[in-house]
Amino acid sequence: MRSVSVSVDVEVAPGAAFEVFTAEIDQWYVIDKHTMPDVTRTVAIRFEPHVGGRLLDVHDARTGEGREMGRVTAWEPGRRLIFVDGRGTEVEVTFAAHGAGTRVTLEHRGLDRVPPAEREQVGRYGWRLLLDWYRNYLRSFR
Amino acid sequence: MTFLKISPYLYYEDAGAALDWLARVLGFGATRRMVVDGKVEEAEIEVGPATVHLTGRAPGPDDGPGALLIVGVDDVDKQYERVRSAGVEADPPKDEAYGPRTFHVTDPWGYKWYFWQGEAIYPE
Repeated sequence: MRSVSVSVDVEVAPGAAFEVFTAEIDQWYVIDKHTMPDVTRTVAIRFEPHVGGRLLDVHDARTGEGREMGRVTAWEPGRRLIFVDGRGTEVEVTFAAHGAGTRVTLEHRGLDRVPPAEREQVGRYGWRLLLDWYRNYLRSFR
Repeated sequence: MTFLKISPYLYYEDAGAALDWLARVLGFGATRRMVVDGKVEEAEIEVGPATVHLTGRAPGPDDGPGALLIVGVDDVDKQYERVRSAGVEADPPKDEAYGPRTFHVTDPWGYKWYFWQGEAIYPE
């Protein structure tokens, strides 16, 4: 397995879908030992919204500092974003107009760099669940 | 014991093409798909309140005639007792690594009925 992509359809426009994915990630992302690198210290998760910014496991609510989970390499609101994690695997999320809403597709590339057991977990369970959380949040609160 | 839902699980050689066809031709609702190395491995499409699952693999020798029927229940052990007390053999429910507590029973014509209590989660 080298790459996995998961896509879901949501009922908001691409701009709003991007905004919720990024600015509201702490509202929909389920924080637990499987999803955070250092969950005992986690107080939040957030993106720094620009190229070169970090996806952060926030440990200090006051400063917003914590452990880096990824580094943003593309940031195009309403269209797409890319971040690269510490293992060099790359995650691209695209937001494409689809009917009256948006098709959100998350592709994780470079999985051949990840040990096989973990690869299965990330690929077959991780992102699939993640986009469900995102979609359910959108349906409940937007 | 209450029946919560049923989710047909259908086998297609090209699940991506099937998903697109169901959306385009039949007008079914929102889709979700998982693509591994360029091939659609599994997908879902909403049909009113129900969800139809599609898999991109052919049915294996133990998969019956090509459809797996997943029935959500709130007490899978009670359902198992009911099946057993009707004189039908089935392996007892077990907690799956991927979340739900399940058992399955194959009907006399080969369709496999798969009872789930709980939702899929991360495996430990």
